[in-house]
Amino acid sequence: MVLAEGPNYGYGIMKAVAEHSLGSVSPEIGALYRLLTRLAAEGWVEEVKPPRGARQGTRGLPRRYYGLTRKGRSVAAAEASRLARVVALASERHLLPGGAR
Amino acid sequence: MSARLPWLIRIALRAFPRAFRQAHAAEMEEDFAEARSQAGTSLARLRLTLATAGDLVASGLRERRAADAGAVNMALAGRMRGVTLDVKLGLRLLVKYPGLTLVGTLAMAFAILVCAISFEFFTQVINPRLPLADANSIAGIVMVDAAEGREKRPALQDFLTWRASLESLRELGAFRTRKLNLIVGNRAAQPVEVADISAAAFRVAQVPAFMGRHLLEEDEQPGAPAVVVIGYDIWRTRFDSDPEVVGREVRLGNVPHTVAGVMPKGFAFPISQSIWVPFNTAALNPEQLQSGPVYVFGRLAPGASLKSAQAELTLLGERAAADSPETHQYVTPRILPYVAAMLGSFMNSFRLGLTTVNLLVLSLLFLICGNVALLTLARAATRESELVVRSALGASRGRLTGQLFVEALLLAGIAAVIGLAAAQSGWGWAFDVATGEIMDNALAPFWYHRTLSPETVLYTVLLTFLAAAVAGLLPGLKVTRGLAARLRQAAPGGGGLKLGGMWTVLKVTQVAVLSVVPVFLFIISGEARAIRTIDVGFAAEKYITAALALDAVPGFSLDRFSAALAELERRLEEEPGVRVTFADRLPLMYHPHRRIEVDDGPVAAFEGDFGYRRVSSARIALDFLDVVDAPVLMGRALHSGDLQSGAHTVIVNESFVHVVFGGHHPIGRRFRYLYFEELGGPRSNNEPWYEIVGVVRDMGMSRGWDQPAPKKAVIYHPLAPASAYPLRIALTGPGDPLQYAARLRTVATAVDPTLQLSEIARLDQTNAADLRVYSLFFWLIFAFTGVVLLLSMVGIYAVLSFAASQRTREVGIRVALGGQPLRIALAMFRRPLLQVGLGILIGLVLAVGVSSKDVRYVVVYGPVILLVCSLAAAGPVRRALRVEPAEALRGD
Repeated sequence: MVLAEGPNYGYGIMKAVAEHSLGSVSPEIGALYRLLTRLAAEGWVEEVKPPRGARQGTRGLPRRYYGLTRKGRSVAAAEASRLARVVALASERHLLPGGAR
Repeated sequence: MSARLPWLIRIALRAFPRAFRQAHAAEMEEDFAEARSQAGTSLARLRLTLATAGDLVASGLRERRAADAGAVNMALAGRMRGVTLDVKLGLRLLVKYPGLTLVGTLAMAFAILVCAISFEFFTQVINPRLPLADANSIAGIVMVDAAEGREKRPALQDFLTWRASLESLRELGAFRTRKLNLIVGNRAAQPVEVADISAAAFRVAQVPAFMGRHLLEEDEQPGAPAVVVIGYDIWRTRFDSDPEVVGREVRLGNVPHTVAGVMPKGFAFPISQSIWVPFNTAALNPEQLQSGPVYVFGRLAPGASLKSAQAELTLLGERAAADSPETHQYVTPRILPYVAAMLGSFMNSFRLGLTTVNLLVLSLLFLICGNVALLTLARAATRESELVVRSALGASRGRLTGQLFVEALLLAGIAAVIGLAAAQSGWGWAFDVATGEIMDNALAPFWYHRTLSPETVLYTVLLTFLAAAVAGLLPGLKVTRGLAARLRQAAPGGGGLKLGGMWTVLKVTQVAVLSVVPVFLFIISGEARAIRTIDVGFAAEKYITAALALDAVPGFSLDRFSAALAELERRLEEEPGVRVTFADRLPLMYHPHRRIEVDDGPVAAFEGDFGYRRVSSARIALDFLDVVDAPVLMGRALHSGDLQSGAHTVIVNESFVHVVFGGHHPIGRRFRYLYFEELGGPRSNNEPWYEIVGVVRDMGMSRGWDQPAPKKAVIYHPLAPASAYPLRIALTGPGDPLQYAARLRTVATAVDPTLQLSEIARLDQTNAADLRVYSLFFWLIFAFTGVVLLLSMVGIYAVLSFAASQRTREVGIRVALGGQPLRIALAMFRRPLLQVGLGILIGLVLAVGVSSKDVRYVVVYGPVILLVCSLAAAGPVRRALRVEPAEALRGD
């Protein structure tokens, strides 16, 4: 989801996830890279050219950026739709805080 | 950077696999550095370091596990891809070398066919399975007689005692069989085997009746109406599938019975019976209870085993021995699995023989696979360059051998499917021949079946792998041995591979076997020809014959039998032109031999190495020679005076005069019979001397396995009334003799309902079954020889072709150096011809062992093999000689 906004690098992704989840999800470095490797193997995520003004590392080199592939975007969209349906169902069953709409 | 990274993180990163570290460690370090730079306090930095280190270790280990699993999967997938590739390659090679495929498949299929049939025989005879519910709990009881050292049947009294007291066996039942005439309505009688059987049998078998009911306990009570239960086939053939058969009256001999029910198709409990009557034990007197041997069977009670039942039986046996020592002192009851109890545990004595046969047959598979291996090897040798290159490209020895194995497995697999299908048809056919021809259409014991057992199918699968191992793995190992060394020598192939001593032994053995087999063929075809060309001495096709006996029921006596035959003859001869006579053995039938000594007159030298005179004998009615139109050549015919007690007069045939008396005048000469126990021991003087009163011309007879001489000395004794049982009738009349069959049955039933007629056939057809069996053996061995011969030729051709191709270079050099082509060719021929010659020589020695008389066939056949082998060698040798020296050298 974070990468749907645009390509990002490792620590950038970690920070964005923590922010979007309001701190409820804060991935650790090792887990993040394992996940990125798996997503890349599935063809959902790929390493992309660092954008203009990309962050530089301690060695002065630009960081490695990851972005969604077309397939990855479709998968993310499908997953989002699924979650939306789950949320709608939960809402119908009065499971969401704030009562029925 | 890394120098400034906490050591804890550096160590933790080591948890990841190397490849992962190489791809992502730098980025992970950067991320950690950035996160760390944003941590405000030292404590926050410490917490971040600890948390990250922990995560890195956990994630790294997980990644490692996943990578390991992935690697295993990759390896498996790689191997699977390898096998698929091998299968594809193998199939391509099978198509590319159709000759090898065809010969190899057919030969292996033949070997598998023979192995499967032989194993099926073993399975059905040694490990039969009863096709009944909970068959393992069905058992039988026999008596072991320690004094006579054999098994025997228990007496009825034993059965009754056991039934009253045994707790380990329930549904204990007994049966015995009798041959009785079955008379349905007004039809002529036909003898059937009837089982007197306890009603418990049907509860043991747990098979419901097809129609009506099976036998019940109340049928066994004294005074109960006589009922009979019939089998499906009898219902179909004797009752024309009458749907109203239950309640119909039939006669068994002279006793009327009511049909109570029909058992379903295939039901033949307890062994091969198809008609059952109640075993009325209550009506028997104590003497009958003691004498009548019966078969006893039952089901093990729940929780009981053969062992616990045996313990209980032993106890009962000891009690019986104490109570009746005169009958039970040396006998002990023994419980056995059902089939062993029914057929006797002598079946076990076949185990060794049948195992040997199976091993012999298995060696045939090895022989055939060895030949296929030769072909594979020869082909692999032509692919040596390819193998060397593949080896250079990194293919392991296992990989290369594996490919040859998969190729052979494909070949063996196809052969197994063909062989198994042929074995199924072959077994079914052999089963029908065995029950039809050999057992005279008698039912086989019900546990034998004409379909292959699952065990045999499994055995065939094992054989397939074994065949593939011999035909593919061995050549594979042979070819790939030293491949690396050849690679180092940079040899592109040709000359690197040599055939070792094992192949020489295989070839020599094969030629030896090939040389002997025809001897068997000639012996068997000779036997068949001898039977076919027997000169009966009269028009046998004008006579109809049948076996005659009486029902074994109360009232049976030889006098009654004689009277019935006399009446039968009188009534049959009332028809104009019909002549009837009797004998215990008719011409063309097998006559067992007997040994005699003769008076002091001039005699012939002993026949063969026997040291005694072997003759055959038959008892014939006084009018026999007249009816079969065999005039007396010397002396006189038999007359009623010869029937007087103390007459001891006989007629002999012409061969007797030559074989025994050396052609000297026989009339008035005397002889007497010797018995086995008298050979070498003191002679008994109780045997009477017989006087020869006449000579008749030879009437042919079946030779039998134990009678080598074609000319048989035969003695004809006069058949006195009530002196022989059973007998055979010979009837002739105007027209086709078979037209009298129906009349013969009708008249016999009218004369005495207990007079049994069986084996009705035209006299010249009496040994047709023997001929069919011989011809079966002949074709089996013929097929075997054909397959082995074909395979052998191909194998020898392959080996010679291979050897020639290996010597191409040498031949080229020799030709270049001015060597004479003829001399070179001879040098090449020498070794293979020597091997073939050695094989024929060994075959000759073996053939002398089999039959010294038929060695001449090997002498004729040996050069034929030699010629075919030379032809096989000629092609490759010619090819080698044609090679241009320059070309041969360029090869290297």
